[in-house]
Amino acid sequence: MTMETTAHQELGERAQRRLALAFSATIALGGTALLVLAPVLIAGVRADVPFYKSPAFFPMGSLAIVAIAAALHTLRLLRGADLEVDDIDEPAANWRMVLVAGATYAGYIALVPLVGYGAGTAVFVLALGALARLGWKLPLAMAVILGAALFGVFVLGLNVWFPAPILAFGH
Amino acid sequence: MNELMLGLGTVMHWSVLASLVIGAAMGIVIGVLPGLGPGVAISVLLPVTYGMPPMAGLVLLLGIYCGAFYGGAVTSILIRTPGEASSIMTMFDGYPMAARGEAQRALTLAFSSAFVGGIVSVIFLLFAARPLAEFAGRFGAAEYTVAALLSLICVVKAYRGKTPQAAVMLGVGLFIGTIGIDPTSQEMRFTFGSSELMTGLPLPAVVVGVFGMAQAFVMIGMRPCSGQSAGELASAGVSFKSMFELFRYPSTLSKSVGIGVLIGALPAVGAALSTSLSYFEARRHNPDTFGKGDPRGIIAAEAANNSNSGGALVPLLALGIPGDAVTAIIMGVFIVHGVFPGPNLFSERPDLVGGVMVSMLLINVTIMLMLVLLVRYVALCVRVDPRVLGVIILALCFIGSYSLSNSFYYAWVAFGFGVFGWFCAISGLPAVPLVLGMVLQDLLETSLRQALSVSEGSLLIFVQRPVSAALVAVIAFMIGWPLLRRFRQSRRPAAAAVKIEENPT
Repeated sequence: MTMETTAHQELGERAQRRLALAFSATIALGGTALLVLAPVLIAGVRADVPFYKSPAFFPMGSLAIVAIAAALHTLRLLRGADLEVDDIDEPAANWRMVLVAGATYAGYIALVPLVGYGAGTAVFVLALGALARLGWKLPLAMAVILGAALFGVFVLGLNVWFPAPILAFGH
Repeated sequence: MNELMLGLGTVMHWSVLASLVIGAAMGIVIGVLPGLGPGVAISVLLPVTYGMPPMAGLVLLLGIYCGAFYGGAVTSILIRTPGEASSIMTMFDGYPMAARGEAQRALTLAFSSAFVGGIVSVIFLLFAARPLAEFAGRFGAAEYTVAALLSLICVVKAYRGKTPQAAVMLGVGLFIGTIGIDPTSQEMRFTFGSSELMTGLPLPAVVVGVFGMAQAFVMIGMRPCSGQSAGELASAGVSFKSMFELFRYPSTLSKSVGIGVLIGALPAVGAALSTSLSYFEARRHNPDTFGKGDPRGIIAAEAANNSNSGGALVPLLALGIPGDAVTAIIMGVFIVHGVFPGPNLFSERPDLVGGVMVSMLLINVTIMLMLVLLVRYVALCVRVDPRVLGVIILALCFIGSYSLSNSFYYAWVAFGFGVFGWFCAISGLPAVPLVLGMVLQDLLETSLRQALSVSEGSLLIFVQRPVSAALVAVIAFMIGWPLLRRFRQSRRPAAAAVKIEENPT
């Protein structure tokens, strides 16, 4: 079995390249900004302390690596270098579905404190399964089975604690 | 030998044996499923192990780690779809052999080669780890600094052609590790006034996001191709006639196992490099037959692939430096139980060390038995809809990250890194250096600052001590040799042009 997306849903090569360029440039700019602001964002930075005793020494070194390497990568991309996305993990991303999955997942994290872990997981699996075009029977079966299995293993078996749901009946 | 006996006693508990069998089975299935590697599974299941006894948790993850190496060969051979990045080389000769009706021979060669590689690597672990730990017991801050630096350079060099990308992610990992309270000066770094960030960004949550969640986002957007692989998958099985065929090629087998073990022992380098090196070394001697179903191609790839596993545990146990990204995550199991891998582990917890060695032997045997009996059914797992897997993984990611500290903060951190990980995947930025940077940050920073404190800021300390100087020489060679070679190659056309000018006839 190989995985495929439908052509119109794929992030095209040009769009992917532009996204990669923007992302790389953002990392370069972000790294540079944090490097410049490090003396402000790190408490206790003093000019009279030897560099190796300063709490800013190592973070600034790391940020310098990030900024320089990201800038270099961005320049290479601007000059037309290959993206070199790993074949086996190549997303060929259905970006709309990724967006939906991300939003649904964020909703899941927000929902669990309101309705509890079991109900939240069931709703999440059902909703995401339906949005991923798995129909309604399979997501419903997954919601029940997976929800019960995860609740049993983690909450009952491993004693993972959840606060009482805010919207619980009678709460 | 003492460690083996202690280890046997540690492993012979029902919880450990059950974890071993479950981990091995999960590992095989995970290896078969394209897009779902051991890194994803181990990162998602790592929090599950926190509530288990340490040996049981370790064995579960080691079972997945080893099982995935075996399982990845199944789809490589049967349907030309590697289950793992490290199984790509197996496909080059495995699939042509299967295509001419010898699928069972190909699978058997792959499994038996992986088995021999796995067993030899455990023997290497048994004999190499303790001497290395004893040697490392004399390491000071300077030696640890240079050893950690060497590991980071190995990571970057492993991504040939993607050096800037690997360096970016390594730098990000090193930086993320510094967020929180500086252990030396107790000052706050990049906490932005947040009480949660004072404890830093938790490695397990980052790993769950970057590996697990990012890949799940990708899988949710995919659809399986319909029906083309049913016939090929039905031919899965093991041929007992071919079980010992690999011993007809002792030179290929021994070189491949040696490459796998040594590359695995190199800090921070993974299995994909060892399999490609091993395959291309074998192909160098037989260029005409490779790629057409030559058994030596399968042996070279799979023996190197699985012999990585024991080798990667050597620097982890002896030095506290992981051999690859997966062992970096497995290190989390040690740390959460208050056990710190490194030279002292052998004296403080010989039972754990022995347990790891014995369990690796048992895992390889268990996996081989499972495959002999069940490979036909395991192969069918590849037909699972990736969207279903994506939903399951996301559900596991939530509970896995939340359960680290019963905190929604960790779930949000994992989500943030899941989004970041997806953008990295789109942009061709590898996630492995980020994890290794985070893992090695503490060791590198602490040792570096200690060494410089002793030398009052002088870098000469790194060349005044013999072991440290030797490691510095290795680093200089690794960086300098490719540059020198490139310089000499660029001068060759100029030299040839000068020669032609002097002798125009």
